Amino acid sequence: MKTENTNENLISEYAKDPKRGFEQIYRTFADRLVQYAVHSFRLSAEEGEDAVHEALLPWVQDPLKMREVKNLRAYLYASLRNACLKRAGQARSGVMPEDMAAAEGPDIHLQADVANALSRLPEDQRETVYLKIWGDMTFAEIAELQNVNLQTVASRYRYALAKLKEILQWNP
Amino acid sequence: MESMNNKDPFESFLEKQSFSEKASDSLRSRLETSASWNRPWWKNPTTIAFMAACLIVVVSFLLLLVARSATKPLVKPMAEQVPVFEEPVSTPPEIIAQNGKSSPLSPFQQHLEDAEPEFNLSFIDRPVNFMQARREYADLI
Repeated sequence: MKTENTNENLISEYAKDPKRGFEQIYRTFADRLVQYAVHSFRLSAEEGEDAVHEALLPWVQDPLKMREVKNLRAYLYASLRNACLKRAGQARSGVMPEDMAAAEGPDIHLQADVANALSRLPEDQRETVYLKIWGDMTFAEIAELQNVNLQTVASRYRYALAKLKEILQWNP
Repeated sequence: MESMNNKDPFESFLEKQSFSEKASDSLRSRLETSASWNRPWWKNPTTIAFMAACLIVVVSFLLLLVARSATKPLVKPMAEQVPVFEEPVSTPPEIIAQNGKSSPLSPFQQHLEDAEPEFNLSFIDRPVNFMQARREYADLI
């Protein structure tokens, strides 16, 4: 509910003052969108940023049109998804999540393990679990985004979690 | 659905694993340079194209008007001719017939006046009640 309010606030702020509103939208979503592009579509950081740029471009170019958007978060993820799908077929280069293990710090290793495990999931499951856990989206929103029914999304999520547990050898 | 709402500890564990990728400054600056609020309208190609199209239409229209007026023959338009003002006729109408000064009656009225009354239209002997009326007009009923 808090996120919903934030979305509404961001949109109303954007409608009042596009420049200031976009600042807030960017601060709230830019990092998460780049992470979604990198981890869900396995794009390089550069490709991910290009996709985010494409997704955010209408927000700076056509504020009159964009302020009509109802669900900000879902809209951003959907437009980024389209941008990523265009790039997903192209040859990937740059730093992959697996390479993040080389970075320093204990938490970084853990993130790298999670990122690595995530990358080993089938594409649909990876995207579903990413959007649910880190994208803060509901099953209904994910179903609409992926153009599948709710049960399919729930199944993908369940399978994805089971597989991640297995890969990460998670013991509570 | 109920089971979905209960948070799996594994989900909580995953949520804590925040990723480290950050949107770079170059992404921000690229977006800022494309922003409509940072670009004056005269640098907007869409606005320029629209204004150029409008200008072309207006100039073409004016040229068309000039061309049409140049080819027209120099005839004074009807609207510019001053209408001739006709004075209303003030003379009295010609007298076609007039009664004689001595008698105000017309010849026909005079004739009726002079002639003996041929019939009497007075209703002095009209039926006074219903029964008399039935008797009087029995042949008409």
